[in-house]
Amino acid sequence: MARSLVPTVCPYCAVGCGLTIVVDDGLAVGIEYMQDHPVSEGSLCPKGNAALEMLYHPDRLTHPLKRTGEGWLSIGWPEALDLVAGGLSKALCEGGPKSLGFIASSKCTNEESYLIQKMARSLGCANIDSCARLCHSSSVTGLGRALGTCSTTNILSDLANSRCILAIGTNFAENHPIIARWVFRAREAGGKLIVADPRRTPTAWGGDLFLQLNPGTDVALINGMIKVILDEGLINRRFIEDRTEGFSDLESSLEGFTLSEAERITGVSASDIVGAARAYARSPASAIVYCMGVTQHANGTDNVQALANLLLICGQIGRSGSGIYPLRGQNNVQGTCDMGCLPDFYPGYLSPEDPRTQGAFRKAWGSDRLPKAAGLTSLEMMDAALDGTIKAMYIIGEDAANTHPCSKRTARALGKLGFLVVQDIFLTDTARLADVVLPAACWAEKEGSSTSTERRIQWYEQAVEPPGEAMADLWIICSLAKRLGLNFHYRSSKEVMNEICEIVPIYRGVRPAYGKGVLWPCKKEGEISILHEETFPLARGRAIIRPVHFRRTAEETSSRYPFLLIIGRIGAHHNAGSMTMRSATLLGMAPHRFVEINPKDALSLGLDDGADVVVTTARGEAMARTRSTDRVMPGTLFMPFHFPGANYLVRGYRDEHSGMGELKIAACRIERC
Amino acid sequence: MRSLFVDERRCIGCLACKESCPEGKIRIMDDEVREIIFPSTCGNDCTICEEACQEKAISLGDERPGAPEITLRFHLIPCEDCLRGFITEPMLERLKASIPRDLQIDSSGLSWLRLCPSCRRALERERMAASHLRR
Amino acid sequence: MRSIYVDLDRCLGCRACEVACGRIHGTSRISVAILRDRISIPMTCRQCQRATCAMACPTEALVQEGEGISFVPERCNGCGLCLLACPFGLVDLWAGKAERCDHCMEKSPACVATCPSGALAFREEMAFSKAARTRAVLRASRAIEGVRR
Repeated sequence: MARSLVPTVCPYCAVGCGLTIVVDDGLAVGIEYMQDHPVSEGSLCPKGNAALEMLYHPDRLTHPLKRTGEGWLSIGWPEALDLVAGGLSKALCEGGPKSLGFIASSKCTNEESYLIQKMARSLGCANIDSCARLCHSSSVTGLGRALGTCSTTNILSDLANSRCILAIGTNFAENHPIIARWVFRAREAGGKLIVADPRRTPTAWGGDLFLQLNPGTDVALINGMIKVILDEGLINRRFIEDRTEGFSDLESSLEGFTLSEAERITGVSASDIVGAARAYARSPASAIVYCMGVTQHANGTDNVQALANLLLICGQIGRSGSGIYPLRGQNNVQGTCDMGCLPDFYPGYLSPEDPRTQGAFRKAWGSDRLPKAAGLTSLEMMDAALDGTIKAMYIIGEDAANTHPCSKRTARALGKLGFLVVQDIFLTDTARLADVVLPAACWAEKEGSSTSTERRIQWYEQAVEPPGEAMADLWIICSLAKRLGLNFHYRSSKEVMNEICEIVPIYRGVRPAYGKGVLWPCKKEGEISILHEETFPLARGRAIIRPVHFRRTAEETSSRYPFLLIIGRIGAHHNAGSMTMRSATLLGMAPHRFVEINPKDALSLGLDDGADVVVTTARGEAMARTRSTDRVMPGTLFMPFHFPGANYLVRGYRDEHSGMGELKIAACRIERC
Repeated sequence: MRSLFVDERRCIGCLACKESCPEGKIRIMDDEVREIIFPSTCGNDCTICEEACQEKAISLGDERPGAPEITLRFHLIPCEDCLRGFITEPMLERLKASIPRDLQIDSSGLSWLRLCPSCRRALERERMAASHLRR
Repeated sequence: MRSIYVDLDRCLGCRACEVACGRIHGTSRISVAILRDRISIPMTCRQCQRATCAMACPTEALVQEGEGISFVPERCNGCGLCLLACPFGLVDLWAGKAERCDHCMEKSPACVATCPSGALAFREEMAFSKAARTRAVLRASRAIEGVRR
């Protein structure tokens, strides 16, 4: 076979960088940079550069596996699919659709995500969720309620046109490095960067103003900024009157709130809050960029609503350079949400309670069993597994036993199921709990589309063959669906995409095309896609300002647990690490779990740099090596969650609106081990 | 089988022979002293080490049965910063001879040849950081 | 002559350049380190105009050629003198040969192409200093009103 160049999209984060895989004699042998790519312009972060390394790892799953008394037994596909269909059907017969649970994967294509939720709903089951629950479910609720959509309102490159960028709860320098490209372009043109984070990360280095707020106090900081803007008359009155509702409630809700209170709660000086507020409100075009530091809290929806309030009273939306950017984590988490792998939304964010939704999908799918109400979130499914309501689960590509908050509880729940099938590319800790494991093809081994955080739908071709008998998720889902009596006769991803484009309103007009992809909602060639230029897709076309008050939802420190542990990401790894820990280069960059501790705390506890310690919370403990650094404030620690076990430590209190678990902060102690 | 002859007056203690031997038969151990251990005989029909040695210190000849391994020892001059030995005396002399004197001292007056390469790199980084952060 | 320049205001220490360089050359010829938790500094061969590495090379593998340095790997015997002759410690030995940045043979260097934040640039010296001056002016005019920097 000859050498060929296959255009594709990076499988890691949701920035959606393009790259070209060099294929020689059927093997992926190299990467070429795609210099005309509209988002990345050829650049790639360390993970993107190392993306091929996991393809040929010896740990790849190559055959379906069945659990037996003596361990795993390799079986053929017909037997595996029969077993899975049997396991799901048995639960369905015995307990009805409520006894099933589905977790889709944001590593799958749009087409695969669409099919898995179609399968669940066609079986009458509303329990379909995805990893978005743990990253941006608070954005889905918060932005959904305030603006009517949950995605970046502007494309990433439009950040270059901002004159003030508020980056809050995001360490894009490490975790979405391509963002820095556009932020720096804005700075070169005179734009200002304000970074709000409890940690002084590399993102903060480039900031004109760094607001080092106490963990979990985002609402107080934003309300403080709003207070300044109200008091100094920096609001955009015309925008508020023409395009929003609820402003007077916000005004009255903050009557008793003072800047000194904001200073006391957040630890950020009043003068810095004033500076940030003025810079954001006065700039001709301001953008908000945020990530897990905002969303992964038990008050995540409030945090997001507070940001929405800020941008709405300033009218900083709907124009070039003005907007809000929730930075998604997984390459296709935007698409997985768009495709309705959420228990409370059909594809295109259509409500199950709306009779029009029911009508449309009943007609399109030819099913009369479609659920008419929201199902359980992934965390609620674990509750239901523990109490015996859910008896069988089908999990694709999610290592729930490591990623869920208080993850030991999730492992216990999965262990209690009558039947668990896990479809993945590696034998993750979650897969180890399964009755049947199905080996899937990974990104470079299949075709399909994914939707990046900026709503860019990009197609990728199959570059190489999957290992052994591993199969594309699309084939697996369709083969299984047929055994479950469903009419899933799709021969290719394109056929599925054609169906999506017909019935999912936001994807109308999308047609498979390589290269730079297309943005939803589809616009004319050359138009910059900016959401909410004139209206918001809510009742009366107006955005909703809703007052939120600071609540302390994070676990508080005590004499037993005197430190606040912040859990987050680092640049070398991705999520639960099943891919990056199998990439020699990336593992070399960050081989061990570490915990950042302020040098003052390290000194008072007598901990040297690099000391082996154990970090303990009320849930459990994790070993790590100390990294003495003033990135973290005294009294706080930071630990990445990529190394299995970190999410054992967090409490997982849930946001009442989104079901997000508190993954960000936990009270802990640290001791030498 | 052929025997290895090493002229210790010529050898400067560099890495050329060790790095070029395809069989890895020449070993170097660094501590305060660099020990270079040559096998007494070599069964390979090659002359790579002989050709690699720019000092012409190695020659291959007829086998001398029972000859012992040859070990050469060089004191390693310690780095002035980290104090770890990093260069042999003859190598340092060679560098001093081949680099013009004005280049042996940097803009701050430092004789950088006395630092090991990793300390030079660290020092340069420190300088760049200091000058950048001062702005 | 074009060179690789770094804008330290933009380097965020992600190390993409290291991974890209290592991917292409087997080992990375650029190294990044974060200092004082405030600044990240990538370092690679400066292509000295009076190159001491070439002066020290006994086999004429490294040769000063005009403003640049050429390297003929077949001539390199791995003696390591160049490594000890670099004032910045930016030459390594790898697989028995001198290992230093050669600008990816004057094609677009991978480290520059991959740099997410645009901190690395491959350009003429003059063009670069002009850009640096522009940035300095911008920095001076940037203070946010009422805020200590």
